[in-house]
Amino acid sequence: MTSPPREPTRIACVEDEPDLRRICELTLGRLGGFEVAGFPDGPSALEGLAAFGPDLVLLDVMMPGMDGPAVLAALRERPALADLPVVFMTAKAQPEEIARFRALGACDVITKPFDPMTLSDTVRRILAERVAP
Amino acid sequence: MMDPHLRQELRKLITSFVSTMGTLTEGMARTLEEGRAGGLEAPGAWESLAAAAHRISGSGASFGFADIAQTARRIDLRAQQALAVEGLAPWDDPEIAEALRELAGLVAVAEPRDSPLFPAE
Repeated sequence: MTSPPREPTRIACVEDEPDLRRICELTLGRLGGFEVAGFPDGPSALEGLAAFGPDLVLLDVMMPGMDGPAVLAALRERPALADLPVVFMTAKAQPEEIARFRALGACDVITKPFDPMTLSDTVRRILAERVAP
Repeated sequence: MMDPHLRQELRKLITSFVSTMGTLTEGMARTLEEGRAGGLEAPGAWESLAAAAHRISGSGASFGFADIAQTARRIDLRAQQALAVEGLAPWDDPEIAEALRELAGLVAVAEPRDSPLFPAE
């Protein structure tokens, strides 16, 4: 069980597709009231996450170069970022893939395409589940 | 009632994306033309097609352009399969030609307001 996130809750979005990253920033920020930081790839995320201090990271699985699982593994090696809750975003929605992502350490998986208008609700649910006994 | 700034930003974003789909699709067609003319290597051309198709498919699906996303995904998957097969060039692949024709047709008539996310006035 973890403490409730602070307000405004900070969400990092690591997504290489600029349109999707922008829509996450818009809907999470405007609709959800979150403070949002977008990162276009793994290296920039690893560099910027410590300074931003997110309460949760949305992490795209399929990214060129350093993919989502590689980013997650790198986060877990950094003491300051090791306990960050990470949610994978992926078009691979088969149960065995989702189980694999959870086994890698993701606290949840959002399948694509996701409804941008309900993304904030999904993120709140995930955060609430982490706090609930 | 949607936040007016969000409405404006969404309209701008979706309008821009529709334009981007056109640009990317034209780019894919140019890749095939250049390849036929002997100006490209097949692996690079497949990667270029895959990248463009992946972007249209991923973002297109999230914006609600389902038919466009599905057609682009066919190109993306075909390109990824072909990258594993040496010697197959996209400009010689009838599947790619058909899928790209279909994609170009769909993108040509796509309007921002076709997206269910496009806010009304």
